[in-house]
Amino acid sequence: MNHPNEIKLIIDDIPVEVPEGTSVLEAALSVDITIPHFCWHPALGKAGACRVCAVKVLEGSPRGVQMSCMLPAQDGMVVSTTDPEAVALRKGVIEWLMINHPHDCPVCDEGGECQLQDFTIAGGHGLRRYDGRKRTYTNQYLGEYIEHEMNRCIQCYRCARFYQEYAGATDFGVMGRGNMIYFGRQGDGPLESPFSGNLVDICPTGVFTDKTARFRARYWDYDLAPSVCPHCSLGCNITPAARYRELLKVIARRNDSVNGWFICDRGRFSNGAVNAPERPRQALADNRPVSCDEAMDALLERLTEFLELNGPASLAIVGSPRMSLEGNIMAARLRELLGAGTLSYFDDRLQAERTMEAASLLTTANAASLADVRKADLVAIMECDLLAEAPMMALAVRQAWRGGARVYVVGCDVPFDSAQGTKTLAERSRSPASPTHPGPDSVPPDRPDAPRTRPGAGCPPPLPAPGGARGWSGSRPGVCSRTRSHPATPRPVRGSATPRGQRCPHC
Amino acid sequence: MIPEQLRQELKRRVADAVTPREAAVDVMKELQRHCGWLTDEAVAEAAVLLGISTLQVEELATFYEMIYRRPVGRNVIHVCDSVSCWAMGGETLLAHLEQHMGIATGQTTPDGAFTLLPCSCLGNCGNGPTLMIGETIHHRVTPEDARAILARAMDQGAP
Ligand code: SF4
Ligand code: SF4
Ligand code: FES
Repeated sequence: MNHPNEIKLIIDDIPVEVPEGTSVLEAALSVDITIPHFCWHPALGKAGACRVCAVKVLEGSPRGVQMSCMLPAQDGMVVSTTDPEAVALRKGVIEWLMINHPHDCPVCDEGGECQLQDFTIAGGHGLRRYDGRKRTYTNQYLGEYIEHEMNRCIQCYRCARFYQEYAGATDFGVMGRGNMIYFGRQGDGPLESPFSGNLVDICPTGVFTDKTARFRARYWDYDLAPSVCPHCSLGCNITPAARYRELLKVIARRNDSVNGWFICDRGRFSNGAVNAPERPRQALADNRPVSCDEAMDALLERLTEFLELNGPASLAIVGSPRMSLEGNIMAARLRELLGAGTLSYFDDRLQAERTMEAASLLTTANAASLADVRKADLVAIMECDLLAEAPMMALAVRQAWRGGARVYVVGCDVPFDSAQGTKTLAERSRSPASPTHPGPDSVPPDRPDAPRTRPGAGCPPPLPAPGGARGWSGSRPGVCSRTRSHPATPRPVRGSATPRGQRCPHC
Repeated sequence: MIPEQLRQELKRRVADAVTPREAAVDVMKELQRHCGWLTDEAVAEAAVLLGISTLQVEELATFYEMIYRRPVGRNVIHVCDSVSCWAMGGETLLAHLEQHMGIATGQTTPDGAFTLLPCSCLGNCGNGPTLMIGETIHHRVTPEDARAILARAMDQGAP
């Protein structure tokens, strides 16, 4: 479908136009008709697992009550979301889903921001009739960031699909079947994916909640503001949630051309610096509390004095590639204002030159957004450890790979599963390895009882790319196949084992 | 530890499959045949053979009813508790077996001869109630039939 045809249908008397391949559920959402849904998620697609999105097809085929997430919109279709039959079915399904739910909203952190609450009420299930025994579970310790409460699960499979399919980690999933189903790890232990925090956002109920903000506030207590993550250069969109001037948690904010629906754990769980008591909150001049304006005036005064005394060449104004663009621009403004000083953003000349070179090649036409990367059919990663530098870019590359893209990692000793976002990298990204790339706050030491590496779990083979056998190029990607297979090479070169500093001679 | 010969045989089966995951059930069944049930070691072994994580093996193992993640008796009796068999007296059959063997569903007889498990659909809906012992399916099983089946299994299994 290179040129998707527009489909015209009618939902609840509203004419809707959508591209071919759109589901009825999405078509309805596009005109702000919300049909309850749990298993369908825009980033994960459909699963047909929860049966709560029922609508009635009045005209078109198949007629009658259908699951709107599984039903492609068709020309001339007439759909009702308010038909008594569809409403009754949704109500019934929600009642089943609630049978095992503990109804513990008062002590659940999800309360107030819970899709299950919303859709239960929307579905008209307000009165419990079931008085039998409920299914109960033992919860797991999933690390310092995420709280597990399995009793609240409505088995929509979103978490397992996100964790394994979307994010490519293998230590969490779904066990059992039917009424004996369990979403968790094989045993207690910290979740290994560097994207695990998204379970909090993606679970429609309170099975996974942010442990770092446990029992601190309700949704309506928060000071919320749209914001941008400051922890790497990608600029994922976030919503920080604060209360009483303390940053309690960070929630992913949807931006389809940047981070989509998700953020990485570094972006989510690095509140420490913001809340640290040592963080300067008051401007001081000569150790005297002053207003910001006064402080700026004092700064300018002293800089002027300094320049008069020592000459314009004696001042360096230092930015950083890891500082926000705004901050770096302000550094340049300051130089303009003073008419003096040397601007410096890099710690060595080569880095500066390369950055200049790369930036000069960038045009509006060839610059790619994260959304473009997710849809790319070939990705070349040059001298970059994506998970350490910009985790969400690794997740974007993984989506490209899942769609059949070829991925090349050139010129660095990062194993190929970097872009795949699997656990090898999860571990590296979690460990507070280098000061410039801090992991999330308070990384707990590995618990001896929770082994992170299990046989066979270290380096899972790439998942077969949907729709064909194309996956990562070569069986052990990391370098291009030319490097690996050149007859002059005495034995296969492992992408991750090329000694540091050695360059591939083939191109 | 599993014998090297079995490991090589399983490796071959995995290599023959279109994707390793396809061979998962096969691998788990063979390991179970060898160990009596799918032990933790067998799960780890399967993970290595299939190139997936132990959790992913666990996902598959716990999905299938005839893969046992706990020790079972020498004979496992699966009694269908799906709707067709239930309508034909499956519930009575299960209760009868519990009483006859003196164990509850899910338990193993003290001599280790039998484990009694409920099971959803043995694909024999037209001939319910159905019971499976070992790999043999029995149709339209009455309580008397069930007792006879147990006695026969006892005889065959006797050392
Ligand atoms: S844990 Fe949450 S996301 Fe996962 S299946 Fe249950 S309700 Fe869905
Ligand atoms: S990738 Fe992570 S650290 Fe970088 S901007 Fe996005 S959420 Fe923040
Ligand atoms: S949203 Fe359609 S079946 Fe779950």
